[in-house]
Amino acid sequence: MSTGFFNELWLSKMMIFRGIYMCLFVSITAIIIGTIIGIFIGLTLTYGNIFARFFARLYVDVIRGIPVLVLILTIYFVLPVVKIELSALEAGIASLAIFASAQVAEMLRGGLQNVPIGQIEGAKAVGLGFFQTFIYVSLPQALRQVLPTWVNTAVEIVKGTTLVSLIGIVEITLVMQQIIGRNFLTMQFYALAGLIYFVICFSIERTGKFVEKKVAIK
Amino acid sequence: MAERVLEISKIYKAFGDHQVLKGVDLDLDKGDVVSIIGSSGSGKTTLLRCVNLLEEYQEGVIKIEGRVIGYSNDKDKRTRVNNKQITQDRALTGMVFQSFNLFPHLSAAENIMLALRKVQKKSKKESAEIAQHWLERVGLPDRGASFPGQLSGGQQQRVAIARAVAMNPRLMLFDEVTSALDPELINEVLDVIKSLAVDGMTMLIVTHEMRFAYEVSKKVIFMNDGVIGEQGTPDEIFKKPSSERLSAFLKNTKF
Amino acid sequence: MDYYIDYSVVWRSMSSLFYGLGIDIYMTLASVALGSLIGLVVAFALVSERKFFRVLSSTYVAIIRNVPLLIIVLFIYFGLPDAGFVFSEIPSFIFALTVYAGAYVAEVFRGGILAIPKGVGEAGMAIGMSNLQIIVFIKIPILVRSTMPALSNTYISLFKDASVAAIISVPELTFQVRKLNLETFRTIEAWSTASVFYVVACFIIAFLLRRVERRVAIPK
Repeated sequence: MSTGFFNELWLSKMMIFRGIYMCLFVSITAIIIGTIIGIFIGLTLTYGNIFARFFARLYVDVIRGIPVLVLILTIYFVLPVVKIELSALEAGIASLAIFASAQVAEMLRGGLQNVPIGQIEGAKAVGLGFFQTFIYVSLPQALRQVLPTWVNTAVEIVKGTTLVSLIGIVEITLVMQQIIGRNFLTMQFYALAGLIYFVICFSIERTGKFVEKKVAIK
Repeated sequence: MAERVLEISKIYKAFGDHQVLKGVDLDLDKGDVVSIIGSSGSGKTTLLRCVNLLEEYQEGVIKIEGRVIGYSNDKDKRTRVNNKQITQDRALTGMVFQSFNLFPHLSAAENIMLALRKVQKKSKKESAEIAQHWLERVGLPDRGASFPGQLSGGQQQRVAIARAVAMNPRLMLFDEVTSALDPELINEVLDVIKSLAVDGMTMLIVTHEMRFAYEVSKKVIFMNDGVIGEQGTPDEIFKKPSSERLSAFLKNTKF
Repeated sequence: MDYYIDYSVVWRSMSSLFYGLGIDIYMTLASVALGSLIGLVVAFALVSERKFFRVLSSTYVAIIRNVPLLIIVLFIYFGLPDAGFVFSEIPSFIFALTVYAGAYVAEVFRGGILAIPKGVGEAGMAIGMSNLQIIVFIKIPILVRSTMPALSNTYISLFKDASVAAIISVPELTFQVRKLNLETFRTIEAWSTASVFYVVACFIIAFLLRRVERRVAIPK
């Protein structure tokens, strides 16, 4: 029975590699775009005027209030109707990016606001301006505090790519379902999927911890 | 004939490579109040924590009321007694900590009652009465329902003392109990300890409060670098120190 | 195509939407309750002095946290029947979400256990309480009260994760919305309603949990 599995595995190896590639492609693109957008929104949340903060808060609370699956399906179904034509792949990346941006915005706000007020006062006392205080005092400390949470979000995005299988993107989960459709080795191939995700996510976590240690303040 | 409550013989203890206790002997009879003074690192807190087995020690014997606790010597092999026995042995002593260590989720009265009910299996009514008695004794008769977070440091420490003595221990251990307190709160705690001494409680006190040690102790022990450097009556130690180290130590302290 | 907005289809399907929401809440409550018990035990195993417990529990947590919920669901619902364990949709999903919740709750509790000052346990030892008594009467009460905020966040996340059940055709809220969308093609109306349902539900759950937090917090 298990020789049957390994045989099937060997036959499907190209499909699986393509699935892994798609998962990584979608994740990395979504993480990068999401982080950039998230930084802008996070800065707005922390330093913006009252109107900007209101809309930023609304954005963050709504996106964080709905499940990732609902976000993906909403973007996939609704955007074509408002005349924004996106391929399934673009819609999938966009939804994961939007999901990430809300997380990044919130963690950046938290990190910046958690810098002890004494630091800000100390900076003011030696004559540093707003922008300088931000660059040399707040940001370095906020980034260090936020790193573990950001790594966590990155892992959540990778796990979120399973859900875009529903809109037809051929990533790991969909590939496995296609393989199982052929050979019915359900348990084995879903377990394999779990293993692949585990390896990817665990590696991201480990890398994150390594980086954390390297940039830590003694 | 005085009853020997505590007997410590030749205690050796190391933390990894660092030898903290290098052969300590100490005896306490019933009603004795002994203070231990010395600089940080001299081993005084570690010695105290060995008595109620919060620390392990590699060599030596500790007896409480004549009974060996902590380790047995079956067939010439030194083994640690089982946890159940250790838990029972710990009930013979009471300890008050520098950082109070009250249970934050329980009121002052409940802090005192918890062990009375769960360890000594007393009824709720009896435990409440005992708790109220001791709260009055430490000067907090109407604070039973307050939570530790609502009490000052001095009040918390007095509740901690009540919690320990309510268990009716043979021996009370005090580990620098005023070191974490604001100056104006120290005296209320020291007064409670003095009144316990007057009532005849056997006590081993590690402290930095020299005048208090002078006033309350029958004997004072100066620990230095893991051994007893000098011991004697309060007058001998504080007014006529014979060793260099003790003189140097006292010069740097307030007396 | 949607050049006119027509929410009437949504109003007509309200009962099925609320029915779906009810299923979400039911599944979440079941998984959260069981998962929290599992998480409590696992958390103590994570900080145990015995290497065996530590290794076993940290392996469990590491695996579950790094595998997507959907894969766990598919494995249980489609895969386990191969080994003779057949579950219908809702029990499968509750099983999956419970296992998933256990790992996340364990991490929260682990942080809480480590945050209990060492001295509090020592005080318990000094008055002669056994290790088990210290855990039951001192550590667990402090733990549960101090971790409520973090637990609340975890529980809300789990509620949102319940939407994954739609993929195995559990008739919960997301499934109902998808059905509504497919039947009426009123995409904007359907999906905006879904968003409103979820945002409001999360808001209410968060509000209720905050009230519990306040009641249960250790008095300062």
